[in-house]
Amino acid sequence: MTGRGELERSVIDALWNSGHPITAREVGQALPGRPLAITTVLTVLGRLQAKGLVRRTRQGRAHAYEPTASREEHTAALMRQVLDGAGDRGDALARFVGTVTDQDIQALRRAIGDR
Amino acid sequence: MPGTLVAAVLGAGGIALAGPLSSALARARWPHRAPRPALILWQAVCLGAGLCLVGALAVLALLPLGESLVPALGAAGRDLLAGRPLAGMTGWRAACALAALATASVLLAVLARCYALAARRRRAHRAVLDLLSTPRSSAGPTRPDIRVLQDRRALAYTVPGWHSRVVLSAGLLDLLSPDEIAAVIEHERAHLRARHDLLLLPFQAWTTALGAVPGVRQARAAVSELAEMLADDVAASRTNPGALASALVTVALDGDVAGGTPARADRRRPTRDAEESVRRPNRSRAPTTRWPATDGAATGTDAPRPADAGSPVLDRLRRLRRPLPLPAPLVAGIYALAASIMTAPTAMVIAGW
Repeated sequence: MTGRGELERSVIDALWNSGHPITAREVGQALPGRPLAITTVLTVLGRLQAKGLVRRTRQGRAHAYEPTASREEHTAALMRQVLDGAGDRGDALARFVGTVTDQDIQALRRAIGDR
Repeated sequence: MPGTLVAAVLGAGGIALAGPLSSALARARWPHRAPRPALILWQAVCLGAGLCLVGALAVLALLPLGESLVPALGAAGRDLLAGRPLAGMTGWRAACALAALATASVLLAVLARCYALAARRRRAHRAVLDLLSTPRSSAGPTRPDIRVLQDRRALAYTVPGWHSRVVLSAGLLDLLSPDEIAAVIEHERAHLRARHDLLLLPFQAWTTALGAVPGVRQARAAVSELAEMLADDVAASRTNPGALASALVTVALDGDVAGGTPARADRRRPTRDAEESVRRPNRSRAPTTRWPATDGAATGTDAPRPADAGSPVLDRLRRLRRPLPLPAPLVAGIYALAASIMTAPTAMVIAGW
């Protein structure tokens, strides 16, 4: 059994790949490798829901699950945090190279172009 | 020393540390040659300024109650327990006592709030990050703390904290050579190991609270640049300076294209990848942007132009090309200075008046 994080990742991947709300049973079928107990899938879905990443809707007698935002939206939001992080918010998500201005680019090109 | 003189010295010291001395330190060039002692000195200046200002107010308040801090505080405490708080203090001395308490608590509260907010945002960031990224698997064992994020920009950053992460973008892995990637990873791990985020915290907190005060932002920028330089030094010693310098240049110049369009809300647009590949038709490096690992001391650094003075990337590049560490006696002097700045205010009020 892989770690908890890996499990959550494969479950939300299944939801992202599906494109429409699916039930826990369908999630279990979509997962790669050994089939998981439906209760395990439900537990993971519950955790994702608690994190606000997944929402649940009633579909007949079962619940259908869908992601609250697409993979791209989440990535864009993460990147915004990182790129704006140099501001005053103090997240201290230290970037290898911070904001590079046009002046920096010109200075760098001069420094390496002279050779 | 008469009490009013102690208070005056402390007050002047606090103002000097927070004002002119901070800006002088932010402008100075020597810290680039000794980032570790300089970072310690910054912490001392920050702590010393706070202690001086609170100490000056406390001395003014407690002056009539005793010969030095401990007995005077004892007397004030006995008055408080006897139900006569602030007895023996005239009106303005009581105001000083309250101001000292208020200043100390505001400073600590701002710090605690900044830390709590940062920790919360980082936790949220990490939760989503772990779902979006994959552990890096390359030659050798998979490192679960090194995550690869599918993004075309060349980006590397750390999420500090209890469960820290080094995050590399797929764009960065495409752009850099294995040597350069190893150097970047060592740089980021140096930040995490030494908890540079904690060194930056006070400065980030003051920027949030007092960003409008002149000098506060410069101090923060100077401190975070020093942390980058310190991580550069660690990475250079563990890998090689040429690879790190080359990575720095390559990522910075790539930022010309990529960082200039930060995370625009290109949501729900399936054509995004196509657009990006049009915008950046050639991902492979032009030869001119390569930084040869061997040839360090060539042109460019010899005649620093004033216009270049404020460019953090160029500063970092220069010192990687030509390391010029400060001589050991000077470094020892800086540590001694930092130690005395941190201890002097407390020593003065304990020694008494």
